[in-house]
Amino acid sequence: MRLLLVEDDNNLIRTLRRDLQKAGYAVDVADNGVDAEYMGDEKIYDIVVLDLGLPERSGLEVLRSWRKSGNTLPVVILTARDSWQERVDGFKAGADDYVGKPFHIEELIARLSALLHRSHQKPAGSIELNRIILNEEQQSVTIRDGETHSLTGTEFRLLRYLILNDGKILSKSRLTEHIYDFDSDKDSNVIEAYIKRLRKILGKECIETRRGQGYIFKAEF
Amino acid sequence: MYSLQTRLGSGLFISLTVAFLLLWLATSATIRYLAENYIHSRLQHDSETILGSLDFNRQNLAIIDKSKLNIIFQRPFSGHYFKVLTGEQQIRSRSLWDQDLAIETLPSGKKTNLHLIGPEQKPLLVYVSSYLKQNHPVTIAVAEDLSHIELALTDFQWKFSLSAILVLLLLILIQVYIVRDSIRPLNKIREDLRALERGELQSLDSPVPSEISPLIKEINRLINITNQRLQRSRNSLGDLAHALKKPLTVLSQLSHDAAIQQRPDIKRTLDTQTRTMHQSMERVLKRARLAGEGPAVNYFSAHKEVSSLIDVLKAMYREKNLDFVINIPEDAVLSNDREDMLELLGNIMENACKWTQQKIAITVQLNKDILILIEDDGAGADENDLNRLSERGTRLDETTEGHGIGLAIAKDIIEQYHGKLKFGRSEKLGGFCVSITLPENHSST
Repeated sequence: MRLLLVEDDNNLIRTLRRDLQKAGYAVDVADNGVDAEYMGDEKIYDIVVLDLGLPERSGLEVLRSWRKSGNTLPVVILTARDSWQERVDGFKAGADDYVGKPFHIEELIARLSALLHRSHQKPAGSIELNRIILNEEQQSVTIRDGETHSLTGTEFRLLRYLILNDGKILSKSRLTEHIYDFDSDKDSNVIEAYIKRLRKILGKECIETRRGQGYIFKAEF
Repeated sequence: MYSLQTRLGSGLFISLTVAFLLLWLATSATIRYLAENYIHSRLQHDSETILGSLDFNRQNLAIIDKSKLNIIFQRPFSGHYFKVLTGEQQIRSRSLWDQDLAIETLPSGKKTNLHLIGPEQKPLLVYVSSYLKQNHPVTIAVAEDLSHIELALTDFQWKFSLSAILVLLLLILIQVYIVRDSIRPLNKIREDLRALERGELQSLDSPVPSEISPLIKEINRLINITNQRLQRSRNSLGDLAHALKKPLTVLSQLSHDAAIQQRPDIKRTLDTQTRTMHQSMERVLKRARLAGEGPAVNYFSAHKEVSSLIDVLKAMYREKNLDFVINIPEDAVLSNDREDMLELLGNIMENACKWTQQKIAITVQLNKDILILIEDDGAGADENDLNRLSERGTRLDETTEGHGIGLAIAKDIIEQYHGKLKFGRSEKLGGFCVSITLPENHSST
């Protein structure tokens, strides 16, 4: 999952980026409102963490203009401005969730993952598809026969993206876009290697290849 | 306190009464003067005619040729009389009958006017003049009854007084109307001020007479200043909160750092201290942001705002699948500051969301006071806890975060509005019940 972190405090960016990456997100940072608005319209992000007090353009304005142009990107507002009036205004502007600063990183991560599940019409908590259970907290996968495999960072990101978008054809470039951030080395051939490893863990039938189009994660087979 | 209406009314009444009285006196005097003047000149002519008809015989006795005189002097008590005095001799007109005129002889060439009471007790104007005829000094007094003039004058005075009173009444009515009409903008302003208090108006902008427009401008300026101050202090407090919370957030994130994870004692201290800092800051800043009593900048339309709060809470507690029951009149508008009320209800409703199984009921009743009930179907609290809850910052369950501070902030807000906060058990849902009473229109009492 690729996450856009909109925040202007460098210290907070550093710790947040580290914690979010650890939780399995590819994180890009925008440190002002204008960049944030532009990047949010790129269609490569799955979720946004948005601070309200931003230089150049306020977070609320950015959010409103996204919603006005029909951008339904899930947005969690993360702000020190947490009076109820500001919360009401935030939700009215189109926020999906609101976390007040200071916050616990666990809470933010739980809310992000709940929001992602919701926006992909998946139930809250761990996702169970057929005989596969994805444990987001441990970043592991449990096959119904009881075997638990821990996943590497990239494997986890790839599998989570596949599972959340099950039944859809996902091209290699789309997968690359959503599991790597700007700073990573992107090589779409690496995707093939990761798919191969996931198939080895989950079974061949799980991920179908459509030649020239991409991959489909099969919910049922 | 005095009434403009009474002041203007009594002023007008007194000045008009004095004016009419002076006019009455002046007109009466003028009419009397003119009438007497006219009679006087006639008496003068009569006197000359009598002198012409007077003759002295050889015995030096005065004889009047009555045929030369007006017949009116012959009719008894006709109102026209004369008396001639010459030497020892007196000649009285027949009209005097058995009466007399108290006249003295005058030195010749003199003349005078007298007011006497004549026959039948009637007022007379008497013209007395003395001549020298055929070397005899002659004093002639001619009198005319004034009673018909007095009658006419009294009649005129009555009519004058009557019309003066009518005009006076009419003028006072007109003045009352004018005063009422000019005061009407003031009544409008009074209504506007009440609307301002209720928060239905932002400033006074009804048209007013130029005399009071400076006052209105001043009121508007004060409202503006108050609003700006509140806005400014809220903004700067928001900025302060922002500025303080950022480093605090960084500090609290620090406890996840690998180096600190290895020192549980430091991590614990860091966690408790940052949490305490956060809570005290929250509490103080929120209290400082309260608008409190006084005309609200933005009034609180209960149904709409509670609905948007519910949207927020449903999004925040989505996993609980909350079921809200709203019992608020559609048109309920509280004359309290919108931000304060959102903060108050937000905190208490969020508290209910934390504890409820699923159901939360919000009731707002507008009677003499505003009554707000927030009930849930959670476990509720027992008697001891209910008492302890009323204390500052008490937390019932340390594990559910922010419980104590939310209620404490709510308590601060209610104190600002001189309201009452009570905790109890919900009769309807069986869980916790918070009841808030806020005095309506508190700022006018």
